[in-house]
Amino acid sequence: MNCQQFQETLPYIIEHGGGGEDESHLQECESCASLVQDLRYIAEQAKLLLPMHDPNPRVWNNIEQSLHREGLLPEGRMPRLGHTQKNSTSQAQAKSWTPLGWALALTAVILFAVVLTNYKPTPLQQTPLTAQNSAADSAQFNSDDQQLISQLSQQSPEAQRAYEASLRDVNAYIADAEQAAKSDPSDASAQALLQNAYEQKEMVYQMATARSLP
Amino acid sequence: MNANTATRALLFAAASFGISLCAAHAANTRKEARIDIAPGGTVNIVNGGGSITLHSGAGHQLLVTYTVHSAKVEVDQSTSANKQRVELLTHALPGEKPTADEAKVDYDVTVPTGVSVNVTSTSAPITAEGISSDIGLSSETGQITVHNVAKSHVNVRSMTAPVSLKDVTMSRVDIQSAGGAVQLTNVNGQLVSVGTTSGNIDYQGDPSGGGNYILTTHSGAIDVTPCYCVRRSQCAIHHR
Repeated sequence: MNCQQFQETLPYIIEHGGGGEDESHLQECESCASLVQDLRYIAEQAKLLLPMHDPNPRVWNNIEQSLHREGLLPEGRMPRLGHTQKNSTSQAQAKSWTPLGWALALTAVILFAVVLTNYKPTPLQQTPLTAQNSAADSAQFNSDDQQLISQLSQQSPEAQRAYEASLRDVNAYIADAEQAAKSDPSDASAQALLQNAYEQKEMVYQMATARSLP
Repeated sequence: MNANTATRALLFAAASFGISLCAAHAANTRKEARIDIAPGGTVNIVNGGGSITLHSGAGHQLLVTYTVHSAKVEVDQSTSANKQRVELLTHALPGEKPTADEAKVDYDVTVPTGVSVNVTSTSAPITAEGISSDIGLSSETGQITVHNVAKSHVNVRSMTAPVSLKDVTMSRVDIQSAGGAVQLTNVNGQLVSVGTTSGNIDYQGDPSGGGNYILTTHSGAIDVTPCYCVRRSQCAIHHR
């Protein structure tokens, strides 16, 4: 047995001890003997670091399932050595997740009931056109924009409207400039326009964040 | 009612009137300060509403006059240890929520030559007259006006505030405005750059002295009227 063959069986040797060939190689090879000694020492020390509780069987089942899914463990291979599996994986899962599923469903129903109780429909003051605009606005604004507008609405409705209008214009500018830059990437003026559009948006954000007084 | 009671009532009324007068006077408080600033230093002014007027002056002191229109706001002023930086900050007093009118503060600042100025305002109009150093002005809605500036770097940011520059020469000008109109009259220098999203840009002047003039807008109009000066104080419009 050479060193490579020996090291291929090393995990088994560390866990269960080696056979006759392994022992004879260990006696002949100082390097492998030193390696095995180090690994055994590490394994012993690692045991001291961890609480001596065997994890719940569900943990091993989940790990095994994940390995199967990812193709790292062939079908039919035994799970962790020494671990006794009382139920099949699917049964264990069905048993363990069903109460959780019920609990989640119950929570969802309670939440829905709470939302329904507290829901106060706002009077429909908007014309159909403004309602359409609102829907369009939400499409025009990304999440950062919406967050900014929401913060401004707490400060001043006027500021909110002004920033909404500016952001809408700036976003349209960016969209047009992006389209121009994409259609002709070598066009320097299109690139400059795009840069200018982003500078405009940066400016609007800087102004919004610098607001201090009404 | 005897005479003694009548006198007391009269005194009470007079005292009430006096207190009311004092309160009214306190609501419009005008203060003046002279603040040392090092040559090449910077003054930063942050104001919400009201107005800000900047003039050029001599010496090594800022002359700051401000008028506060309510007792709910105050002006904090601070100077760095090396006197390179002076801050003037309008803010609401703790627990107070001033209205837009109550939050107004009017500033009049005389800036020594060579001292840079940065102004940030929400709705306050900003006017800079004759400043001979770098200027940074930013306003959401307050009109921004710059007159008679030379050999300077003028940096303007506006959201919807109209921007007007007149007689800004041999300067580097950078203006960004989202929706505010920009009007440049006799503005020249090594770089004059104006970018707007929807604001119109109007340029009247003589760019023949050289430099880069970049006027960019997305949906606004750009109107350029080159003027070629026949004499120093006379400007003939060749074409529009």
